[in-house]
Amino acid sequence: MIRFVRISAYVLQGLVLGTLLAITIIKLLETAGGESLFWYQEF
Amino acid sequence: MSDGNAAKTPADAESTSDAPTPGAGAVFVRTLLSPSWPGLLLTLIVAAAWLGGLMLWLTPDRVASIDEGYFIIGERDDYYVVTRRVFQIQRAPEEPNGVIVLGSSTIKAAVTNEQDLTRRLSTRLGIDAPVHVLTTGGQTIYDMTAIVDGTIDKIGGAVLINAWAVHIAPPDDLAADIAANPRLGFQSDALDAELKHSGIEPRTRTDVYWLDNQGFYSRRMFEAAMRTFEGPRVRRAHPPRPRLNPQRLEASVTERAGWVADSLDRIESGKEDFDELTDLVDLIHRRSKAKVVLLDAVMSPLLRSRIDADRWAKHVERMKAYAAAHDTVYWDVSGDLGLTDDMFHDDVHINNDTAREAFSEELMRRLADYMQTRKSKPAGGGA
Repeated sequence: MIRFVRISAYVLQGLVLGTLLAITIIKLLETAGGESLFWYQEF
Repeated sequence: MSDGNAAKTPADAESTSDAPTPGAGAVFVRTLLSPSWPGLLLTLIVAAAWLGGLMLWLTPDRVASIDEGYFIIGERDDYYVVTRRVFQIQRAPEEPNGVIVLGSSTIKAAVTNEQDLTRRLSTRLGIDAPVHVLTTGGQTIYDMTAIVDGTIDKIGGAVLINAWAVHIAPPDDLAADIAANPRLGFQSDALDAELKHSGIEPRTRTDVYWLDNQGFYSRRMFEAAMRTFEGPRVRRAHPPRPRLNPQRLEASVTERAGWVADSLDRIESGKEDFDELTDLVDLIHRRSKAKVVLLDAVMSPLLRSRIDADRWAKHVERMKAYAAAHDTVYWDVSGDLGLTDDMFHDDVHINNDTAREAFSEELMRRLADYMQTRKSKPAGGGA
């Protein structure tokens, strides 16, 4: 039972931290990749 | 659920002596909040799965097929819309009479919409002639090159290039800016060649679509995640743009008149030889039978009054001579329409449906005449 509880905690930890890590990497890549979103210059 | 004491084994009893055994909830919370090798391993696996999944999921095919409203961040996110349209054109059958309209927001604000332009042109020609409006706010000659490179193999009717002096005589640092801050979600050999021609080394490609365009998609991926719950964003062709107040209008017209003057300075001094434009025109002629139109920007009478008339008249003659020498035509449609200042949001953006219809009708009339005239010439007959 305790083993199952611990594995569940590891899985939840991995899901949350892994998702946060992926988001962080994507945001870092955005910065490294240049700001490509909006050039609102009007000409 | 059994409690911890009931499940305690003799070995457990030895190892914990007299300490009370924690409950399952306490073990879960303590494990969750404690660093651990299994947790770290799973964290890395989950992060890798997200990134790997994105790489596999995000492809040009998928971008072409998913509603644009999921990815655009606002109504003026033209660069995503055009990226998607380029992918759609690439995947569609060849259009022998297809037309693409390139340019910045002045052209976007001046035309009605694709369906209306297609109807006007097809009616005049008597054949199906789809018109694709691939305009984006602030579109540069480099963006136009990438868009043409991505679509021209499927377009056989005409290409309308927004050839305002500001576009065709770009500042020296624009190429480096474009290389550092790519704005379209695809790569282009022609654009890379143009950047190299300007002494700029293009970005290294991995040929993994998401990796090569991660700057383009990063924020849009988060937008798509939100839109999955909220539904796709609706994009209007012409969001309302009320006329600027006198102070902001004066600032706007002064700034743009300065851009034109700077561009004419570069042209007249010989620093600008239209090499980017010439490469773009040559690219079209080399890969397609499409006719090429050099379309000047839409300018209000107020802006025209702030540009030196003699210099502008000479520029127009220069453009006509350039067009004739490169198997194209040069049109200043808005200059011939008799538009008035109250039809503009500022000094270059029309905000009036009547003016849009007049501009679109005149543009499609000229284009139909040009396409019919050229079509009547024998193949290989030259300019």
